[in-house]
Amino acid sequence: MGAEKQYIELLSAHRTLIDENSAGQINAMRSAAVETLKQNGIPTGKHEDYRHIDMQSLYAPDYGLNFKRLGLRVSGEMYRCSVPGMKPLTAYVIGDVPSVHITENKSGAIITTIREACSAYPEIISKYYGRLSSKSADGTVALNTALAQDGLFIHIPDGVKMTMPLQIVNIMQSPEPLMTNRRLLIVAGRGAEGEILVCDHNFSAAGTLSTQVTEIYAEEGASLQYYEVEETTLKASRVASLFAEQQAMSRLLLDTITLHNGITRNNYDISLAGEGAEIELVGMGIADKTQKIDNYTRIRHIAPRCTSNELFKYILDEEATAIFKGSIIVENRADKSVARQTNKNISLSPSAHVYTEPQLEIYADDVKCGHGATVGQLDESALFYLRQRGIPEAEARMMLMLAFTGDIIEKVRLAPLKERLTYLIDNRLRGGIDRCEGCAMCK
Amino acid sequence: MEKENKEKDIINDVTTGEYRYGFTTEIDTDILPVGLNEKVIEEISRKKGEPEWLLEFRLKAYQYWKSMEMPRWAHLDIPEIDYQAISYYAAPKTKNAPKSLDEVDPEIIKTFDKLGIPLEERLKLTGVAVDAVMDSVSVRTTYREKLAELGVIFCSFNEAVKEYPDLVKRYLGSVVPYRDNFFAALNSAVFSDGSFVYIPKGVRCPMELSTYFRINAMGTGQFERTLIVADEESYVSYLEGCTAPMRDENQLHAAIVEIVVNDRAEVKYSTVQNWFPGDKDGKGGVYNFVTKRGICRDNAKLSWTQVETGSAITWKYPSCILAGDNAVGEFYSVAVTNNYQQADTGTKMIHIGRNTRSTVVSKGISSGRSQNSYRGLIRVAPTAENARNYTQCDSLLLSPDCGAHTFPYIDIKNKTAVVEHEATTSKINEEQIFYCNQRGIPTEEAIALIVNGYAKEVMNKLPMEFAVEAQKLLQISLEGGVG
Amino acid sequence: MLLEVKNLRAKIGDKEILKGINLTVNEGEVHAIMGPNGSGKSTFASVLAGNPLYTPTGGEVKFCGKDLLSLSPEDRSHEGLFLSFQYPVEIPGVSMVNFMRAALNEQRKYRGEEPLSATDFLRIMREKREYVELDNKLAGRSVNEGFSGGEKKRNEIFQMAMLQPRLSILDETDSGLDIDALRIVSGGVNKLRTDKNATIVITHYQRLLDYIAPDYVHVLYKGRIVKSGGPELALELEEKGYDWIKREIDEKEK
Repeated sequence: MGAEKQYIELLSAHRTLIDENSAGQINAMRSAAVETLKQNGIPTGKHEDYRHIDMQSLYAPDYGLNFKRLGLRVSGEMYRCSVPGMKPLTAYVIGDVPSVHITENKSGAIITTIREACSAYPEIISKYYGRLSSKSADGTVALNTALAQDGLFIHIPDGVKMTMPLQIVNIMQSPEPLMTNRRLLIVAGRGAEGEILVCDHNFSAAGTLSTQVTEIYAEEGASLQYYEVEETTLKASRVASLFAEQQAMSRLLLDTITLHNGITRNNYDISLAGEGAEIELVGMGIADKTQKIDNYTRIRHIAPRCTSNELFKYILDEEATAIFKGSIIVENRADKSVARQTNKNISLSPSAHVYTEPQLEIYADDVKCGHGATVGQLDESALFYLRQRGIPEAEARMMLMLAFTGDIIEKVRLAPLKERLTYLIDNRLRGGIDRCEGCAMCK
Repeated sequence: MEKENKEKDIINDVTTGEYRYGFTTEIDTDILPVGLNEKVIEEISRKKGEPEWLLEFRLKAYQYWKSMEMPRWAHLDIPEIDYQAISYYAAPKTKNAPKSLDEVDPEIIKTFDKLGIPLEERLKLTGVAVDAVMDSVSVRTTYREKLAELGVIFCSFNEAVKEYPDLVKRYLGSVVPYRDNFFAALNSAVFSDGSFVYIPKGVRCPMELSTYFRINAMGTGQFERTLIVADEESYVSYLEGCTAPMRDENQLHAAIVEIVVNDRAEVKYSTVQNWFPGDKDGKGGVYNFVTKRGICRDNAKLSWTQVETGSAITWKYPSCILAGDNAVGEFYSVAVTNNYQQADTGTKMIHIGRNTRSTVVSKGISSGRSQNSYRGLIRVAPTAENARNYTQCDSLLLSPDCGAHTFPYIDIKNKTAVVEHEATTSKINEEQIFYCNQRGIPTEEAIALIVNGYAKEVMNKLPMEFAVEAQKLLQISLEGGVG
Repeated sequence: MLLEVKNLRAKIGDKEILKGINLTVNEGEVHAIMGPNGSGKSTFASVLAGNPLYTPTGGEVKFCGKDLLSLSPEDRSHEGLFLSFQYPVEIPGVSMVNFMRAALNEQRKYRGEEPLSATDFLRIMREKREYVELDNKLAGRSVNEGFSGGEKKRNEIFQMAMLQPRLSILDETDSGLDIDALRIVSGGVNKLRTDKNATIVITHYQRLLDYIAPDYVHVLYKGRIVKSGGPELALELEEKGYDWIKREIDEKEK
């Protein structure tokens, strides 16, 4: 047995404490998850889907866990992960302790902790919590399910259109090595609409590992935008899995942006289960130093007439490593499927590594599927053109890199976020890490 | 709907096209009992009168093979293969290496005649020199004397071991070591015969060299080995064709092709693979596990072209190690699967030298209930400054129950690399069919036209003699599979 | 004296293309450089602008008294050298507005001037667009992306109007233009002419010179200027082609 051993032992030693500080459905999933974990383990480098990042060593350190749920309540004044021009509802997750204190929620959505929802909305929680994630054979997902004690629950009831976006701010701040296991459950009812932005920040002096399992259920005709922006540190590790199940005519925009990080592994597992569902899965990463970004995506076309459009881009410098593996699976009878997958990479350094595996598995015949992957550098003729017009070389390179990320930014539909991201990416490419104005943490 | 049914009917009407090469030949065959152990290997080696070093090579490979498991990573459903239930040596009972055509069993000559492979050196066919391999041994190599005048060596592997031991010893296993993979280890232990080619420095081989492989005996596997060495500034175009009788049981074929392309030399290697694919219910057929690889030195070029229509299971990845500066690797492939065939095929382009270039064009055509996968690796090593790769792989789907899959792996460790991969998967274009119909071309003709057009980029890379055959093959392979 | 080229040699890869070019251009002058395909015309323009694909191997170039070849491409631009590209480069994702603002403000920075305010910049954009009748919509798009051949060339001259160079090199600006676009483009060039700036027109045909009248005409062949004269030389070339010059030179070489 590998790195999973210590967690299995930890769980059996502290099961009562863990369960007492959690609730119904979350506790109910634990035992099965431990079995999956025992069976499959934390993936090793031999695992076909985990060849480039050593998960075993990621899970090996002796991290502390906050089973007692010691949390600090925070006020919105303290952390201002601001997006100028956007007036969102805000929820915080400190470590893995969620904190919702929205005084006046006029959005129409239910936003609360999963623990509270276990008693307030038991039927919804038992219908959805862990339904997708428990089908996964991935040891990292099972580990999260086995250890998670709470998370955020967002429910947009049938026909409700959220009137303002929700921003979830994840904050890690620990002087000691810490592991957190976050959960997020989003249920968008029939015809519901919503916009959710998740920001991932880390102010820890010590190495941390945060795992996250997100489940998104989009019922018939629902329309959801989900943005993730990671801005953490070289010492931060993140292992996140997002599962989404889309019913007929639902539309989902998933946008994941890794601006700064240590080691990041994101899994996206999308099931287009209802006819005419549409997914737009977009991601980008900027990595230098020894950063590693690994996005693994799987989109399954199960029902006919679904559309998937996937675009991932990386800019790499220094010793960074970027990995993209994407599979599109069109199941038999999922006719009229349209799928497009693109991965483009710019490598600026001789020691940066790019691994890309865009895969198509097609079992139906009436489909239009395609994928493309490129690895290259900035266009030399464009560079010269810019310089001929008097733009200095460094600035010209910057312009071309920004332009490279342009179509990713274009996918963002929230106008203030689009502007903010443009600024953040520009700043990042110039070597800066963003500091929010007036934010207690960022000072 | 009605139109669709009609299309199906039309296609079904022309589906009587059976596997043409499915006959067997009644000849005396020298077969070793089934099973694999050291004794069997020693017996193979003894029968061939091999030197001690080659027996050692075989035994080392066998020891290594015993420690391995069959690879399972391919997108293939491979039934358990009982390696102890196969005979590892079968040879038509004649003296090895007949000196003239008179010494070859007339039945064998007839066999190859039926296949359209001339063992006689007929004047009108002077374009191609043939090495014919039946079951485990080479039965006849044509035009040897003529080629010898130029210093070109073209003979069976077995003869090469005896006559050119230094060359064989130097290059055997240099590109595909026996430790390379499960099937390479197996082949290295039990290989029976194959072809050997040596093109001396500065020589352009004046004719196409060709090996024709035929499995005939029952319950046997075929394990041949091809070794081609193109010395500096030489050129050769090499063709390989294969067929087998129709049998209910599955036959195992595990071959190795090694190619050494020295400085400024060029090798073109073309394959038309038409092993028995099994019947329309998926019964029988050849399991085809092949390791093909070449190494290119400075300014060398290796070009693989393959038309894969046969075999129940195909597992093959003709590859180029671009070790020298400015080396060029190419891979052009058409893979057709029908009925219950499964193919997992593609290439590896390993860029090591500076300014190395590679091009990959793969056209998959799936029909019936078959599964057709492209799997390819593009690796750019840190040393490969200015490496370039372009990959285009397209899949055409002709029936609702087939599968087409694309698994590219792109590993880049040098920032000056420019690598592009593009893939598409789509159904045969109905507008194109309608357009043809409107111009009076019936649907089955239209499909043939469209498929041929689709595969043309690859077909054009085949030598003339092969292109026509390959085109016909393409058409026959698809019969009955279009839904 | 604006530009003084002395015995300029340059190569691309291992191939020497310019084999000793001499040329002097003064303020207020228009020079046409003509020559058969492959004679080195575009190479000459690229080398003057500092395209890194080409390596100068000998000779010297003085531009406003400075050693041009030692300057970076952007500083050559700041000094007032403008190249209208034969094939303007498409740059997806970079908007024309951002591109031009960066270019103009970098030029101002070089001269120690303050950056332009957004309003001033947009006003200048608007004014200069009129020189070449460039549509407002084009200004909103990415640089040259999806522009027609004619629009690309008009966009080049628009940029020339924005940057107000001392020396403009028009590299085959007439290629791919219909008669209306040719009129607009050359009209723009003529409006921008003053007695303080100069233009080098590189062209294969006399046609463009009907619109932009040259003071001097030079014939480039095999990497050298083999003949110079007044406007009448261009007419002679139009009438007789290049073969007679080729023959003359090739015979001399024997």
